[in-house]
Amino acid sequence: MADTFRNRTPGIEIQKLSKEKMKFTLSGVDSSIANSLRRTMIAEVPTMAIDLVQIQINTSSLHDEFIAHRLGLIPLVSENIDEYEFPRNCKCSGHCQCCAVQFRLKVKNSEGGVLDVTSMDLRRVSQSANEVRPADIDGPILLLKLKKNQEIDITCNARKGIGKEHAKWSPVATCSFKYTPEIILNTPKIETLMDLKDKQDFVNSCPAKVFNLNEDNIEIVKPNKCMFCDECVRKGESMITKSSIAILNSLENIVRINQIKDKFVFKVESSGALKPESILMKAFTLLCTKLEDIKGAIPK
Amino acid sequence: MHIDSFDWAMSEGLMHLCERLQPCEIEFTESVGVKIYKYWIELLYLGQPYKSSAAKGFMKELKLFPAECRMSETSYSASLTARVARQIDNSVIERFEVNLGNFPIMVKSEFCHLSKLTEKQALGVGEDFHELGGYFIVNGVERLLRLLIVQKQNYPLAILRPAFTNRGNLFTPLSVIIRCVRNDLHSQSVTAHYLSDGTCTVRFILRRGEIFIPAIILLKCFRDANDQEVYHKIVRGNYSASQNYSRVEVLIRESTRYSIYTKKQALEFLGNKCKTYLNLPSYMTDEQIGQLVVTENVFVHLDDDNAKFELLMHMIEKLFALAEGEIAPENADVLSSQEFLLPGHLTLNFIKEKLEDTMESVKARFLKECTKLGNNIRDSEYFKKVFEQHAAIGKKFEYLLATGNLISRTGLDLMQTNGFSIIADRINYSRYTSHFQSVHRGAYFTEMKISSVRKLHPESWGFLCPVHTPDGAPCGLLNHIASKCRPLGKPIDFTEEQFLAATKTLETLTPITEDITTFPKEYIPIMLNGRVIAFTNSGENCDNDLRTLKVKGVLPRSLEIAYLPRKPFFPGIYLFTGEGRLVREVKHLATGKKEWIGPLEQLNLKIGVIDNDRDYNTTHQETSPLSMLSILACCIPFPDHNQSPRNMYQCQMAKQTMGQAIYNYPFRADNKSYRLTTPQKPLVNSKAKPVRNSGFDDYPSGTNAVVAVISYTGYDMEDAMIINKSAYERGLGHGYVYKTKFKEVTSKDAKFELISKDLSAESIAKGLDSDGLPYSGAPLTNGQPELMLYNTEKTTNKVFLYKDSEGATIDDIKLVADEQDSKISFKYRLLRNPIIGDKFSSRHGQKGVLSILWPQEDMPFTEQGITPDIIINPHAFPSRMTIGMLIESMAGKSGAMLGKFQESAAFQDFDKVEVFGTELAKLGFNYYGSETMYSGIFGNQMTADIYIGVVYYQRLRHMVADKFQARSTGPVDMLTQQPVKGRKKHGGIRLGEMERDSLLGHGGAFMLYDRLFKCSDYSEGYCCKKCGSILSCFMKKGMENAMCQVCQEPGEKVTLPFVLRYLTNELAAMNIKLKFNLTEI
Amino acid sequence: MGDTERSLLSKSDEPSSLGIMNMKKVSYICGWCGKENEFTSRDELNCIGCGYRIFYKKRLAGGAQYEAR
Repeated sequence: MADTFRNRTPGIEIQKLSKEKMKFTLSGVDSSIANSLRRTMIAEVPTMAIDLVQIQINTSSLHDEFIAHRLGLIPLVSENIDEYEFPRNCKCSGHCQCCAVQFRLKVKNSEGGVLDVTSMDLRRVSQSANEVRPADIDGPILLLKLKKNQEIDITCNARKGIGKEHAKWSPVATCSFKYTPEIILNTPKIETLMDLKDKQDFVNSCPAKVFNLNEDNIEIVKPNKCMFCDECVRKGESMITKSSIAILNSLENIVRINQIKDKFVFKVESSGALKPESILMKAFTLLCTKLEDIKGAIPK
Repeated sequence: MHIDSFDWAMSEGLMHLCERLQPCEIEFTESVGVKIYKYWIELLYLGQPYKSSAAKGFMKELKLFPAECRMSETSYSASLTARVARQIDNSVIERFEVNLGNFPIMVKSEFCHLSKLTEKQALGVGEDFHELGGYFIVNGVERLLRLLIVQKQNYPLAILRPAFTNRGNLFTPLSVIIRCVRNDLHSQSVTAHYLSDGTCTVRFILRRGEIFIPAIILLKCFRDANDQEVYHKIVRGNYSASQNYSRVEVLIRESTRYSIYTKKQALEFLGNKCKTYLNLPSYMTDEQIGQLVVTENVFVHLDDDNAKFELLMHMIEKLFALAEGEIAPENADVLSSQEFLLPGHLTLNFIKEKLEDTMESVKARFLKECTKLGNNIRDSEYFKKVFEQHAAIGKKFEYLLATGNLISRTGLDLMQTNGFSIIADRINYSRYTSHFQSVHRGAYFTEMKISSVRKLHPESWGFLCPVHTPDGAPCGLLNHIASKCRPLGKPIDFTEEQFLAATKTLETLTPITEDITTFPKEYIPIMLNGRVIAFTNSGENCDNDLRTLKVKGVLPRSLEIAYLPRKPFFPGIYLFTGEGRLVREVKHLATGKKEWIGPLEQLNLKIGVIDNDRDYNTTHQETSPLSMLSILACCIPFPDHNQSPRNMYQCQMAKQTMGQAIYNYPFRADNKSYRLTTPQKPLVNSKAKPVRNSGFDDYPSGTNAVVAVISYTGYDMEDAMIINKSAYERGLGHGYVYKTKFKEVTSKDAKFELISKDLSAESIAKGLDSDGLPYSGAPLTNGQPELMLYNTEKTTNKVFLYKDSEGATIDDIKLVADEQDSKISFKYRLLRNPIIGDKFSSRHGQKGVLSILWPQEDMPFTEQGITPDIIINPHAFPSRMTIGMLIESMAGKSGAMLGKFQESAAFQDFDKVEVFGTELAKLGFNYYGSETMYSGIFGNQMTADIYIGVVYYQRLRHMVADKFQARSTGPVDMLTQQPVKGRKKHGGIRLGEMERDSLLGHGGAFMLYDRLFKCSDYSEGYCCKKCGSILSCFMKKGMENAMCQVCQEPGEKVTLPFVLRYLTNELAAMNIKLKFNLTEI
Repeated sequence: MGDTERSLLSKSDEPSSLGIMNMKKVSYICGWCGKENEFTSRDELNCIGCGYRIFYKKRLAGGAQYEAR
């Protein structure tokens, strides 16, 4: 493991970025750093979420607690989360402009039929122009349905919190990484051992479709898709044992899959509360702050 | 089937009952102006449930609907009326309408209002849209009558029972028993015993007394048959290698011993024997009594004596064949010799007996009061009054339903007196529907030490589910019917004449006529419901002919045609049309049509289960191999890949899950009901017919969860499971428990007023509403006031407190008023989200408890970012071999990705791993369902690939919140000062002998001292050093030292268990002194 | 949600407003026709609309507070 100690420069290469998803490579760090980043994104990046629910009227068929729970899980756009205080740090006793955003859900079905109440029916009460609002990614989120004459009137308080406390504050749907695969094909061996059908079989053996058969050459087309299932390795082994041609140094396989253990492919999928890139940025800031905090704890 | 049987019993059944019910005659010996007072019941009819008359004035809707009964704790019943006819001394017949009381009505039967409503209309009256019915509502509780297994009716069964030798001298274990059932379902068993001298004695029960009568005499009671006829009818020309003829000779000779030769003599003999058991008018002669017994008690299913004669001949022949060893004894514990007693049939039997009782007690009343009555004896109003007083059949039936106890004079020819009814709980839909499919062997067998009655016999194939039976005490006794099996609620209307007309053209069959009644031995009898109607010399061909007619529809399609070939059976073709039989559908290969077959019929049919099973003599084919399983067993995914006991466990556990049990929550008042807030349809489920029809799709009871099989953190040891904290926070397994409690406003000790003007100020101060009730939707905690009522006697307000230690929310409050009293119904809602210790299970008998909620960031994750919702330990698999669960996991995973529901029926003929593996590989997953995972804590990849997929997880109703028990101090027993037991009373948990032993074994003396003494009945007292008494020595007021009152010596302070003091006191009362010698240590 | 902060809205429970509450009758909803009824004594427990005798207590407006988790 000599290369563990080599001089590394960390690097980030963003591969894909959309409104809700991001894929990037983080290189030159150990898995501890990568994992810290992942854990921070899941559990420590703060967002706003509805936390206190005051139910004035509820004549729907669902129970108060159930509606409250559903309201809590609505992702609220929290790009300006830094403008808010955690409720425990706020000077106010209950809730104020600094630590809470108030919403009201007041719907009555007076027309008959079934009325869908969605996250878009939430109206912000707080006067200040801020952008905390229910996220709109795949359309409105259905909360409940009302029959004729059923009515709800609910006041909700959104507060700042982190995923560690409750999953509703977690800004990500998924956040994961994997080692970057390194796929090495033993081309001479392939040519001596395999005919076209064997090659096709070999290519098909990979469920992630890493390889492709270009005329009669095996190509690595999507190396990052590899999930280390070793199906290709096993296929290769079976072909070697099957093969009638006895070859020297037969221990060497057709394909070798290595894991580059200091290069990670990250996938971040936002819940809608924050843009994926801001999740990452905030995670870095948080990690730094944490280390700073620890540093500050050193006795002088 | 419950409903069918009730409908039939309460319409046609009641009609037959009235026809058959014997008129009652009172013969007055004293001169009261009347000699013979005769009355009988002409007609019985059951109405529909209506609201009681008192309330009618205000009501717009007079119909009483089940929902109202459930909410107000009343019974769903309608009036049962009888038309009673009376004739005094052969004068004009008078008729009265007599009300027999309100009789419970089966929900959704013909007599229930719901049966005429559409699904939508039923919703309007507070019913669930899938209401099945089939149960009764007694005091607001839904109860149903259990299906019971009884001996097959009208089929003589050759039984070998060693216990018969105790019946008397010469008795052997050999017998032929027939349970005769009449069209009013009156049932009467007749047994023919083989005696060691070669003769035969017939035994039957008459009013709880046993009557034994030699077979030959009984034969002569039926017909003036001469000895030659009897001889030929049994021997039937078969003289070779058989001792039968010598047996017959002995049999015939027996009549000479009693000097009985004619029918008259025989009847007189019988009448004389039975006279004492019957309470009959004095003018009846012995012959008449004998004839009455013959008609009413012997072979009751047959109306004419000739048929009875033929049947007894048949039974004797069978008995002799058994004695000869020509046939094998039959087993009464297998399904082919059994049928069901359905609720309606029990009801009819019950009504019949209660009517007879009523008639008798009316008679007794008249005889007792005749002298007092004088001319009033003819008063029709008085007669009506007496009749109504003694009837009250509705109330008695309600008692049967409410308690399950049968109070009966005769026992209804059943082997049990309790356990007839059960509550139809609605824990979830599976449990609810299973109640209606369960069949009990009888409470009598639960105490039997032998296991033969519990065995699974091949005869029950296709009728009873081999999987769905509980383990433990009721194992094998409580069964469930298979998905394709139908118990018949009503008999087919099919007479002997219709049969003969339909089979006229058949050459294989020769009907018996007046002239030809005796057939040679090669001919085998054809019996229809225990009546010999024809003979055939070619059983197989005749069976084929009849079956063809049945499939074609010439004979009724639920007719059971059981052809039993010679050896080991007593040959014959037995046809049955009665009620309570089981039928199931199979394909008749010759015609390609569906045929209904019964269990006795099935014995000798060649039925192919799967297509490959067919060979040259296969006559039938199963419609689906699934038809052998019960509905619940069909719902297990891939049960054919599991070890069989696991499937049994799942059948039990499916009935304990939380789920969507009902939809009409506001209209029900169950004591306790459970609800899962986010139930899902299983991703992996069968689309087979039994499962689709079962309705489970509308009443799901679990969640599809991502399950990883991995040993992680150690919190998943020993069947514990880890739940992802974030999954839990997003709603996994969230649920509610609802509890309903009724508060009677008028109680025994005090009279309260429900709504009182004077309450408001005080009640509002107590946090209640101005009517003294809490606010609807208000939270309650232990000790909080929940109700305030005005006591009209003491003119004070009384506050009632909420006593449960667990907090609840008031879901709704109802005021329920009836004539005498009003009630308040409190429905509490308890939020029961999973906590550590709650029980979960997959659908493969793999249960486990939640051991910790593990944070999502610490959970292992796949490279796609999936963290499992649930982690279970791989050690759960090797010994249990629930491969079905592993397959479900794969199927669920691909199903979730493809957005489709996967088919998971049993006995599907394909390689599951290949199919689902290929699907997974196409989706970019590993073929075998395992994935590379990374540790959530360290971020490194785990060496082993982890098996991860989607499995349907059920939350079981056993929750820690209902069970945890702990105390430091608390209530103690008055007498012993020891802690009380019981969770409800906040008691302690007993540290019993075994526990004590283990502490002793570890040398934990101080621990023992603490548990058994300090924390129990520790007490301090004084003991006299001189006399050693602990009773005479105590501290008086003002004294510094305790003194022995006897010795006047100062006492020593001692600590001792309080029970010891109690014991000393008790012994002192018996003049025994306990002396304690004190030594210093 | 065991530690839910739930409390009834009790702002109007000041002594001065008790008098007004006194006058206010509680209304009950008929279990059959849904009509609102107000009773002063138990003898009146018959729905004015249809005579039905099971009543649901009306849910109070201004209910309770819950934690959304």
